[in-house]
Parts: sequence; C-alpha cells; structure tokens
Amino acid sequence: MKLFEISVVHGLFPITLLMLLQCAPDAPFKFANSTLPEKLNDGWEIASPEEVGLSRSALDRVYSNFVSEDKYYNAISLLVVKSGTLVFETYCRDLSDRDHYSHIQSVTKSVTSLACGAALSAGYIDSLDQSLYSVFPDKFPADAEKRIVTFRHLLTMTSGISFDNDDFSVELYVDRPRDPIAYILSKPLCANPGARFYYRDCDPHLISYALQRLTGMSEERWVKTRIFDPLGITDYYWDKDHTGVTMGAHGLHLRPRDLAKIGQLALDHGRWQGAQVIDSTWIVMSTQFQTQTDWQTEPHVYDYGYYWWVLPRRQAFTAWGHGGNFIFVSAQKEMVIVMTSLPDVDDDVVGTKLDDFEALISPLLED
Amino acid sequence: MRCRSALTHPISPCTMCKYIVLILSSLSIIQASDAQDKTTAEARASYLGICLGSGIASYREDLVVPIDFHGPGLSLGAEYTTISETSIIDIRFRFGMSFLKNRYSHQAYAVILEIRPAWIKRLSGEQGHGELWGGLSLSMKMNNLFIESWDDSHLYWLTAYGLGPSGEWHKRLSSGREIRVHFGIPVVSLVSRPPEYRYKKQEALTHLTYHLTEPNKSLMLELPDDYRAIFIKAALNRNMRHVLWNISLEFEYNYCRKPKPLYALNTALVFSYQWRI
Repeated sequence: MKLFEISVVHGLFPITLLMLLQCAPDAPFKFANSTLPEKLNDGWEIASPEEVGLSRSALDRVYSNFVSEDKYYNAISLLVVKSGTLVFETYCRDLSDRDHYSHIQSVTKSVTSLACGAALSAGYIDSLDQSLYSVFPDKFPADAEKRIVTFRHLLTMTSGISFDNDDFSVELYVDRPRDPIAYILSKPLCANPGARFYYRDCDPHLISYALQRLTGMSEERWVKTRIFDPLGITDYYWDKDHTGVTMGAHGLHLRPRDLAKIGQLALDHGRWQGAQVIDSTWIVMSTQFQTQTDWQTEPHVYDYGYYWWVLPRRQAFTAWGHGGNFIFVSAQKEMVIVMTSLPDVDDDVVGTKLDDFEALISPLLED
Repeated sequence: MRCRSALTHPISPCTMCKYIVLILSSLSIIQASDAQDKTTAEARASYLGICLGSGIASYREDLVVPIDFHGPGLSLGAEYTTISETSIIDIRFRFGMSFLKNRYSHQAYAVILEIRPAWIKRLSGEQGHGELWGGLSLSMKMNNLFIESWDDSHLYWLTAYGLGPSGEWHKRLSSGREIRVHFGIPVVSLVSRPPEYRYKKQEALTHLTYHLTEPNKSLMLELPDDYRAIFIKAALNRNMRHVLWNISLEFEYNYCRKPKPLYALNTALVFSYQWRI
C-alpha cells in the first residue's frame, strides 16, 4: 500500500512537468497553391506570363518570398495583371479567399477618389476649390475658421482638422457621436487648411458625406452606379457610420480580382473594356504629385496625389491599405499588382508597409 | 430594447437572461445537494477562502493564424466548499490573465473568467485504493483573447457553459491530509465563438462591458463533436479544524471546431486557503 501511495505522489511530478511543457501544435498557415489564374466569367482575360513577356524567373522569386512563413506573415493573395490580362494569381492561406471579399482598409480612399472624380465630371462638384461650407453649411460650427476647407484640401489630406486616426475609429465606431459629420467639424485645427499634409481618415469621410449631399445618394450607391456596375463588381460590402454615411476612408470589402479591376481602370486612364468609366483627366491628376507627405522610410519619401500614393522613381502609383493591402499600378511596366492581407495587424510588428511590399515585387519592376 | 450599463456598452435582456439561467442552475445544484444532506442529518463543514495560481497558457486561434501563442499567467479567485461525509459542494470563481507570445515573438493576451460549481457524492467507502466520488459539474468559462500583433481591433473568444459528469478519487495520507484527483468533462455546452468574418473596423475594446457581453452573445448548444473540454486537478489537501488549504496542479483542455478551430490549454499550480464559516 505504501508503494501505491509513493507511486501516486511521485507520479505527479512527471505529469506536472508534462503539463508545464504543454502547447498547442503549430500548423502551416501558408500553402504553395496554384499560381495559374482560372478563367471565370468575371471580365478578366487569362494568359501565361510568357505570352505577355513577363519573366517566369522574376515571378518565381516573388512567389517564393510571398509564400514563406517567415515573411509577409499575414498575406492572403497576390495577383499580377500585365497588359490587361491576368497572368498570376495565388492565395496562400485558403483558396476560398478568391471568392470572398475582405477589408481593404485605406485602399477605400482611392475608390473615394474615383467617386469624387466621377462627381466632378458629372457636374455635381463645381471645382476642387469649392468649399465644403457651400455644400453643407448646417454641419459647421459657429466659428468661421473651417469654412475655407475645400475639396482639394480634403483630397490632399491638408484640411488641418486635428483628429487622429486611432481616435477617429474608436470615436466613430464605439462612442458614436450623435452627428458624426458635425462632430468631425467641431474638432480644432492643428494647421491652416492647405498648409500641411496630415494623413487623416476624417478627410475622406467628409468627402463621402459631401458626395451624399451633392448626388442625393450615399457614396456606396454612387460608386455602385458609376464604377462598380460598369466594372462588373457585384460582390462587396461597404461599411457605414451609424447614421448611414458610407465610410469614405475605410470599410470597403472587395475581392482581390475586383481590386485588380480598379487598378486596371486607373492604368488605362479611366477606361474599362473600351468604355470610359472615369474621366481620364481625373485619373492623371489624382495619381500624380499633389502634395509632399510626412510619411517616409529612408531613403524614400512618399508623394501623394488625390488618395493615391505616388512613386515617381518607379513611374508608378499605389493604393495602400493598412496591414498590407495594395493596388500597385506601374505605367512603365503596364502592370497592376494586387496584394491583400489580413487587415488588422500591427504594421510595425508584422512588416507590411509600402517598403516591404516594394521589396516583394521589386523583381517584377526591375526585370 | 436594450438597456445600457454604467460602463456604456449595451447588455441585451437576452444575455442577462442567460446569466440568470446559469446562476439558477448553479444554485439548483447546491440546493439539490443541500436537501440530500439534510435528509441524512450529517455533520457538515463549510469553508470560504481565496485561491492564487500561476501557470502556463497556450492558445491557437485558427480564425487568425494557426500557430501557438503561449506564455505565463496569473490567476486570483475565491472558493467555497461544503464537505459532509457523503457529499462535497465546491464553487470556484477565478479571474486570470496570461501574457502570450508566438514563435515570432508576436504578442497576445488572454483573460479568463471562470465559475465552476461542482457537486459530488461518495460512491465507495474508504478502501485500500481510496474513495471514489461522482457527480455533476457546471463549468462557466470565458477565454478572451486579444491577439494584438495580428488583430488590434477585434476580440477573439471561446465562451463555454458546460454541464457534465465529474468525479474524484480521494486517498487519505494521514490524519487531515489527503490527495484528491478531480476531473470534469462537459457533455452538453452552450458555446460562443466570434464570427468567421468581421465587418466592423473597430470593436469597443476600450469598454469593459464589451469584454463581458460580446463573448456571451450567440451562444449555441454544442455536443462533444464540436466542443470538447476536460478539466483535471490533482490536489494535496490539508484539512485542519478551522482551515482547509490545498495546493493543486490543474490542467484544462478546450477545443472548439467552429467557425475555425481553437485550442486552449491551461496548466496552473494553485494554492487555496479557506476558512471555516
């Protein structure tokens, strides 16, 4: 009996050790899936890389980095369109990601830019120097300092409204002020309008509300009518604030192939399959240098157009969403590269900034 | 209609009802055992005290990424025990927090809130190999995960209210000292998990009540094919006249298959000190 007790008591020791060493086993989270696009009835023509003169070895180098579990941790998809045809498409986490939309974060802003261009060419906006006050004076506070804010200020992130992006998300989604537009406009100015670039989500949200007031429909409805329908984009979700105003800065969920359509639209100066969807002048204006930004990673200083990031050294521009969501458009290479990623990662930890993305696709740009 | 808590996040009447049902279930277990004891007019002793634990937690949340986050944790709680010759009631409340990292040193945090009432009856008397006890336990546990590096805007969770058999093996070592090995396996559970796709950019993570209410929404009835758990505790007990204390090694495994798998393993060394009331 004594032996039994001893064995029970002593048996607890190895059990304790085993339990303390416990952990859930890791599983692979990236897979080397097919890179050949499948022909679907979605408006995309398919070709092999060789058919459009794209280097297979350059693509292989990009792909091996993309599927590595030690880089681009949160990546979901990578697509390459060359000369208007889809030549490379891969989904490293789950093949079903091809058919499911995901949050593209601030890539939404570039779609808001297209929406603004459509409203300008349709005559709803007089000019980019039209003041917001002339559109919705009822939302402005009594003091006059913000009445000079124009569409151009908002499109170049130079409104000067002091509203940090983290605070914007928390206050609009969580605290839910009674009138979000009036609430944004009640914030103080940290610089005179037009004086300085501050990357702010509140600026595109004001554009969205202005479009709603001018066109009589929400930005989502406006974009559906003017952009998504001509492009054949049918499966998407776009978040609204609690008063029903489409989120102009983020909140749009799109499928990777549909993001590539937006990139191709921009590359082709507003044309999609022969039809002029967005005025070409707007595409040129919005994707070229408009303002110097305060975002830089040595030695690169990023320029800004109208909600598109501009890279003159690459003769390229890009939509850039938090977490590693990109529509990269290279006019020089006649190429659109789309990457989608889990949208809510900590950029500093996981490494999904524009420089990281450029490093990934550099074999395609330099080949 | 929604009522709002003092901390501003809404608690739906439905969620409040679930809490009430669970509290009533716990009380009914106590009441049932209490009635049983009264009929046999046994001497009973009740104890109330605190418990303090430290251990290792390990989580794999496949909704985010199927890699393990593990790290040390601390817990603090209260415990109530009623012991008679033929039955034991044990109710434990525990709050714990773990600091986790994955193989890339990405950070995450886990917060555990647990209430675990159990009632067991003696099935066999003291024999050479000890006593066997059996009964029911109701585990109510919230595992809230904030996987900061991978998703700093949303909360992930596994909330499970499980009812199932529990058992104990007691072996007396000397007067007032004994080893107890306890297990509990939920068979029928109400389980809540986050949705597979999140459409809000930012959840109310800064509101305390959000962490209590959101993981209790959308509770679904689950059987062991979708939700599995086991709780094992090996304790060395010391029962003095007015004090009951024990040191125990606890291990808990939770697995939920939907909407994507979640694995949670918790091991802790717990010290409990209770005073007779």
